[in-house]
Amino acid sequence: MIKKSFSFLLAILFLSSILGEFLWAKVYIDIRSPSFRKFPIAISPFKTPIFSNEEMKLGERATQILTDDLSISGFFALIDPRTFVENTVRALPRGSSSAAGQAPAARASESIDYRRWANIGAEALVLGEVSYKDRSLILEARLYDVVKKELIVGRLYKGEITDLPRMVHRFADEIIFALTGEHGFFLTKIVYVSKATGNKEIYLMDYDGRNVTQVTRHQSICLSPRFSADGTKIVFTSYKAGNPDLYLRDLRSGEERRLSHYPGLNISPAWSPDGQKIAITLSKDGNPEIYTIRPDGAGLLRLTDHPAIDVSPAWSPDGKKIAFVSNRGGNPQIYIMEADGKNVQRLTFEGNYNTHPAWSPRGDRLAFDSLIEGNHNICTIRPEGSDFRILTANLERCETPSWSPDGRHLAFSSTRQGGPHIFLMDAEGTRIKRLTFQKGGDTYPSWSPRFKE
Amino acid sequence: MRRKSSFWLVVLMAIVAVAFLAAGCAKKQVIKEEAEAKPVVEAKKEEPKPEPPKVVEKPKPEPKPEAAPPEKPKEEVKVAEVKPEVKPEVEAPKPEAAPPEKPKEEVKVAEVKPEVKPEVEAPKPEAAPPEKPKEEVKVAEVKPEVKPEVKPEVKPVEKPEPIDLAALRIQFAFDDYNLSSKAKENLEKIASWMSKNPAVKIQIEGHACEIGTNEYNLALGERRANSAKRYLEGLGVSSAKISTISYGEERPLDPGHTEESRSKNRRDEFVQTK
Repeated sequence: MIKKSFSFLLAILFLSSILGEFLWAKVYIDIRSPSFRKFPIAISPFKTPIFSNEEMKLGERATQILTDDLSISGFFALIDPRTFVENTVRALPRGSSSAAGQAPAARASESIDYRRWANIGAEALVLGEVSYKDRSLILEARLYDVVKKELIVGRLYKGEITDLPRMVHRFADEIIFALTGEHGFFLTKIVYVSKATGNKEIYLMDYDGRNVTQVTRHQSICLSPRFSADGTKIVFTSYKAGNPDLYLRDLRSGEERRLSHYPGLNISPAWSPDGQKIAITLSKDGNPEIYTIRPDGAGLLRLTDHPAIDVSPAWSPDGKKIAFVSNRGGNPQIYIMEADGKNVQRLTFEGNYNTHPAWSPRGDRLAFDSLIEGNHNICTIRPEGSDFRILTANLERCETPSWSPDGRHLAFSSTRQGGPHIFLMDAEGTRIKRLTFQKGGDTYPSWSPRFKE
Repeated sequence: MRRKSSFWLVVLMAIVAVAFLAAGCAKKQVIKEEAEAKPVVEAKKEEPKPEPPKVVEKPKPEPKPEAAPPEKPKEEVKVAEVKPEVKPEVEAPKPEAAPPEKPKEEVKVAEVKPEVKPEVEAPKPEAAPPEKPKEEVKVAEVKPEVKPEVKPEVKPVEKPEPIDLAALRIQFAFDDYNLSSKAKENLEKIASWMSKNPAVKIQIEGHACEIGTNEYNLALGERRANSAKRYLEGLGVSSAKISTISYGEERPLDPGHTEESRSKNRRDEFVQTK
């Protein structure tokens, strides 16, 4: 009898050692919980050991970027840094330098006064240090559990001075992963259309609005940029050759080539999630219809066959369905069909003018642009057609929504502060933040996927 | 007793092993489904209809397609270069072979008019060769040959009547591409002008107001342009003389945001082309 129960115990231990990873990890932020509260975290301003003017600016910048990242994520209540007792002593004791990415030892834990941080309500703490030596930038950052009084994750990054935002974003991603189990999106980018030069051209920026660069110089009209599934290329429409044609551009090499230039329209591209096909609208057969084409320009396949206008395809994240806009019912509405064109079903029934569908990477909702009482609003709906919600009822004309890779945020264009300009908001329509400040009007944001590095 | 305990241990290990196997099988199934899906898609590739032969452009990589469309801008460039050469040649012999490119010059007005007028008015306008459309492109090459041919042919110059195409733009209702009766009137005027001037060609630009996405409006603009084109064809204008393009909401006539401004932007514009 004793032996029997003993062997049972052995078996249970054996099983739980396999499952232990999932059962025993501490869950800091349960983002699936409907009533989760914001997690209080304190970001101590990044220290700069040498206190040169340049280094201090880098430290401030790093702190600001990290603060913005965690604030945008929506998971955190950031403790006001003014409640910190100013501590001029270096928080990170010097240790041996290590190659980028290796986690430093937890030796620093003992020298941190956790009680002080706990007293101001923080449950987690970020300490960081930036130094710039011999034209090499070193950023070291650590996340501590104030309650358990231990290090959660620490990183050391080495690079050039221009790598500062990327290093901070990477650490922000580490924080998110350590505390929520999900991957962050702080290294992602947004591509959009801007008339800053007087012509509509394609621009690229970090997801938080920093690092704006001009991508095209067609001096014509460029429209509808969309990222490839791996984030390295964009596809867009341009009138450069006198007709709306589709172009493909590699963002890393700058190589650009024409993808499709049939007579008539070559517009509204959407890259499939597996990267194998691009859904487009062509009117070469007499009517705007949706087709798919391979990125090399071959393999044209027609999907829709209806005398109405069929335009603006958007793939589901599993690549099995395509949402699109059609006025086959008399006015523009959103429809969903299988990826081979079969089984067309109407999705939207509210309002008379629903366009620009965008399928959340979580698969659970679609965002789109709905004309309500003469005003453009961003709305979301479930793929079954239920739970129609208006997100932006109080803002000026809001259009062209694009989801973040984690499906919790939307980039969109709005005229609420002139422009239009690109804004960010969460999937409930709150926490709105402006991203672009150029003259001339910015529209049609498209959010990149997470980059594989 | 010993047998029983070891027996239970073996049972438990077997359960764990089965669980792992099941997980592995599930993965394999998913991969299988994806593999099956692919050949189905590829088989369908054969369906899409062949493109009409007149469409030179095929979706091949760079060299070929880029050869076809740039013809238009090239032509325009050629004309500009040729004009200065034309003058001396024309003045030496009789200006009968005067540059007959009248219809062209309506477009290149800025450069040509001051130079052309004196030449044309001095001699008789009779001897202008009627081969106006052809010389549009081959002026440089043709000119020396044309002159001796032209002299014997004395035909009346067919100066195209001036027409203000811009004023004949037609308007549309919101999200609509049907032609109003006023639109049809304008189109009838254009058709009649084109039949009196068989050399002219036009491009119909379709436009839309800012409401709605750029993409939908590009399609709507194209619909509007095609509406007008079909009506003109119905009135006897050859489709080879009409090209269309859609600008969607990209080129508004009135940049304002009131309904009055927007209604002005729902239109087709007519532009003479070469």
